[in-house]
Amino acid sequence: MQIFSIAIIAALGGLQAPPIKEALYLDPGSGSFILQLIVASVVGGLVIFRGYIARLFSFLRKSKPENEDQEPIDNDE
Amino acid sequence: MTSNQPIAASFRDPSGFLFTHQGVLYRQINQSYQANYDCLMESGLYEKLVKKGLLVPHSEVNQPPAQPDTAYKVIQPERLDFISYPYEWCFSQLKDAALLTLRIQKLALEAGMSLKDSSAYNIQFRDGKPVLIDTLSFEVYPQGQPWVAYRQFCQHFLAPLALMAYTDVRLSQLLRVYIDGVPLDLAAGLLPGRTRLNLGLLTHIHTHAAAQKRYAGREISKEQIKRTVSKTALLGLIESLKSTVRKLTWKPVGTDWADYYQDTNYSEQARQHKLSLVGAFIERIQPKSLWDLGANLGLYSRLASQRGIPTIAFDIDPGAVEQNYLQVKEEKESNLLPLVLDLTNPSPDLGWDNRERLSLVGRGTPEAVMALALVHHLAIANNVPLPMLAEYFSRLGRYLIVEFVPKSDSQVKRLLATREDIFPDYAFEPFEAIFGERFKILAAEQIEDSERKLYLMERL
Repeated sequence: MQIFSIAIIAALGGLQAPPIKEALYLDPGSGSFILQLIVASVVGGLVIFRGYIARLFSFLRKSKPENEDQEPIDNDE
Repeated sequence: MTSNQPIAASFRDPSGFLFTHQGVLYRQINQSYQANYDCLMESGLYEKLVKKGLLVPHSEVNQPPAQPDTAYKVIQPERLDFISYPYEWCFSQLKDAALLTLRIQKLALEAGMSLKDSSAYNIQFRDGKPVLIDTLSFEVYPQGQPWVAYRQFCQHFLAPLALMAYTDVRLSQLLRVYIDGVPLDLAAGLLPGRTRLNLGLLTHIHTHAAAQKRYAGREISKEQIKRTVSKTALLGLIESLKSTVRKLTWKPVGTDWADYYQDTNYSEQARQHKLSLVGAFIERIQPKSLWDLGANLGLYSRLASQRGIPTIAFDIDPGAVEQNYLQVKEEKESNLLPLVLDLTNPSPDLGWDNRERLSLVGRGTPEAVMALALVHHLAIANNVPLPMLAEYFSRLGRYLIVEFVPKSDSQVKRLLATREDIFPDYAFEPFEAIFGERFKILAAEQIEDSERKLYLMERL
């Protein structure tokens, strides 16, 4: 886990903040913005990868996979 | 009520503001927000969120705007009985509010919009469920832009939840000090080292705090590279936050009151009689609203809420409030809002000009107040003189249902066991005389099989 943290901090060194929209009324914070770019890229990649895996398993099982992405946030509990 | 009076808390967002006119709450939408408002209404997102009970409904009205020069429209949102604040919520209330915010952000992204803020103060509880009250929180999703409210989400929700789960549940009170959420460097310092083994907390708290430190005060060049983030990546971020929040848990073990009903000196006969007396008192006065002070798990609060009376069950113990809230959720109860409150130090006026977040009493008072098995804690354990108690209760509500527990009761004996008895006036007669100066005593009943008395009083 520490390696993960170090890797992200190292990545921060190579990145600079994106231009921030003038219309924002909330200060997103430069550090928060840049960290989010990295984290979103990584987890976004994982989402796509997971989608492929799910489709692969679905194909192999010839059955409909559970849609776990939508359940917790979308259900009315 | 003053006409067109803007609400003091509604000043940060230039999209619009809340104001009141003749006691009715309105929201002015400014021209600068027109495109976003129209998108919210026309994209189907508003309808979807309201249908799912995630956003308070509103209606567009012909009420003249408070500031006509900047106005686009005026809407009238559904009004809630009581506005509560995150530092008054138990763990699961804050967690549910966090998950609601993420759920709405996901639905918004799918509809081509995004939350432009993620303040915990935009969430309120209605019939036991969290609901977003800020209709102006949505903006047209700026393609490629990161989530502008990410930092705010981590400060308002994730950091306090992690601190409550891993360090101490009472750290929710940091939200009372830090009105824009817990600073992440502070949270990172207070969290135990093992939270670095939790990928979500490592990312969104520890590394986030380090990133903020690294970029603090740095000058940002206008020529810096453009980097965008795809919608899939943003949904991944929301998923990561959701997963991190969902894994945070806290169980009320070893708190003061969580097992109070098992640790009481009541007999079953006394308990049943007290229940019937309180129920009869509530029937008699039929209050429009009721606050149960020192409500514990809300056993007696439910005598009011189940009669359709909007009821707030306050307790100092976050464990009791947690259990009460979970029961409200489990049984899908209406009219009952459990909240954490230290009555010896109630929520004060906070924020800009001390008018942004209102004190407990500043948010409105109930018609009836219930103080069962509470007076001895305030008068003996906290040295609050009885005349001050009577005065405070009389300011809170017209009616008072109050229980007096004499010194001969084992619970009071326990309070006095380790200290000198400096309370000569703590007895039935002085109590009745002192409260009689502020209230007319409508009924006084001995609770069967106990030494306690239950009173129904009306303010003079």
